[in-house]
Amino acid sequence: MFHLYLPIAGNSVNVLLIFGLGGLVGILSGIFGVGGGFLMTPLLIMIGIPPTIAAASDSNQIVGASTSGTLAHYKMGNVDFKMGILLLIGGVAGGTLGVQVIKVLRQMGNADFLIKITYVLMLGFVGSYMFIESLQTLRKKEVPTAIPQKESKYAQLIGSLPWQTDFIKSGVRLSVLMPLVLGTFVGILAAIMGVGGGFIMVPVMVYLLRMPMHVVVGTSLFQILFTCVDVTIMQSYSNHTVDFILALILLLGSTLGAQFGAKISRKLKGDQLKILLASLVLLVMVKMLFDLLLTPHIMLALKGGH
Amino acid sequence: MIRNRIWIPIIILVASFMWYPQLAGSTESFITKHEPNLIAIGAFFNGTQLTVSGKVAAENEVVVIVKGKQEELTLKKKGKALGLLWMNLGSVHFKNVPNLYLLYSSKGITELGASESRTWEQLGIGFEFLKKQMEMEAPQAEKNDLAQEFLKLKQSQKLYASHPGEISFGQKSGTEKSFKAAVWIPPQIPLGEYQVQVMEIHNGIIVGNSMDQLKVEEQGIPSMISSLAFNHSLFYGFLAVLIAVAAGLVMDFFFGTGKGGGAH
Repeated sequence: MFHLYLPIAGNSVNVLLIFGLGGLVGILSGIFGVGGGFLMTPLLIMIGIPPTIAAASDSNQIVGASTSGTLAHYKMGNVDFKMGILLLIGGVAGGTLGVQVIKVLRQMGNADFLIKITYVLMLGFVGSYMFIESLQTLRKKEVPTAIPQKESKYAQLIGSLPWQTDFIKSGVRLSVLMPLVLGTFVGILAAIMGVGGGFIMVPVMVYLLRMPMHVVVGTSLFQILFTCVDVTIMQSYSNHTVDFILALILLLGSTLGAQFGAKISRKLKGDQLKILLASLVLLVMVKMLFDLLLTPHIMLALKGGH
Repeated sequence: MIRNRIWIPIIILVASFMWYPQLAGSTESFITKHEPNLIAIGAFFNGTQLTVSGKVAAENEVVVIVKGKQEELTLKKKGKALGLLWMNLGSVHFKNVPNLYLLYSSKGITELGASESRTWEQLGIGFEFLKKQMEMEAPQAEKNDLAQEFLKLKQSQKLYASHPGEISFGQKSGTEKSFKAAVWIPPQIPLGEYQVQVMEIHNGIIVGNSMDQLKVEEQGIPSMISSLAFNHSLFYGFLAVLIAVAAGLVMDFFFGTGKGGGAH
């Protein structure tokens, strides 16, 4: 009962389980503006979906969730389209470049090792920094005496770049080069790590582009939508790895979850959001570390996946 | 019931072809059949049961093997980097491994296999035999471990299984007895053709051997989706995206806060 057969994955799944999983990841995506692939792909592999199909079908699902989430955030005025489009252009360029970089790395050997270690270290660094920073701001708010911040070296540097323009929704004035270059950087990393990039993109927008947290979430979702449309079509076309039945059950859950996530997100303050996301990032890092340290049950694995 | 009756002449015909008079001690009573002959995978397929039954000489034991075609497979190999961290280190290419191997045996042959571990291997039955048969490009010292891990992986995918003692016998009638094996076909079964092999064993020697085909194919919605995904892949990709976007829009329409209501 409640089972459906997945023709591309070649396995059957419990519909309620997959729907629930979609809902959970949709909520996370609506709150934090991440795609949720970090959670979904390993869980799908665990219930017997081949890794390549899990990753590709998940990106199809994210298309639905991020459409729903972007709309919900747009209505709250949380999507900076100008910034999103610039980041997207950078991201596409970076992604293409990243695929080439990974080829070179693989030829050098031991690339997987370097990638995993870099990813764990980066998650650890970004997570800890966000956690400490938002904790300090949360505490500071109790003391009303705000210390006027001095212009940092970083602010001076980005202020001196050419083609400055206003990003109204984000309330910042920046050079067009900033989102383009940072988008490329995240695109390269995402391609190398084999992940969607939400975990890297969100902190980059918060700290390097200095956007307000709520706008970051909406804009990140807007951007993820396009990235995943691209991935879904490419994977369907060249690898036949998108299982539409799987994606459909997932996205029925996640599109609904994203709506609730966006509502939860609105109720939280920027710093509360940041500290929660930081905890999530740290949790993912700890999980990855455990995977690296614990002796695997089986010493062989199917190819593909994260 | 009517279907069963239709099968009787077919079974007799098949059995007459399957009978190997050159095998020592072969009994004329050895008849087998399996049902169904075709497994159709529809939208709600969640694995199914294949019933293999027949008659053997009263003193003999039975082994049933459902086996897929031999294939090649490349898998990632896990190892320790820096003597501390487990990760994928290289890959191993396996050759001459069946894509499905489901083994059922009656109790007596299971005990025989347990007391004389080499017997099964000599009969060409069981995981030990598969290990001997498989080829891989790896250092000699690692081969046995890798073969063991391969079997573990396939078992975790439900594509290999061993069910000792799970063939039941009916009442003896004269010199023969009936047997029945309920073979569980997992939902993970790849599409294609399979061999259902039934062996009658007497004192560690195969005295009866029957082979029959089992076909697994998709029907209905799964078949439509597969054909779309493989034959019209670009269209399939666009369609998948469109439906996902539409689902997002619909959910926002029904569950989202109306425009303006939530704006800052």
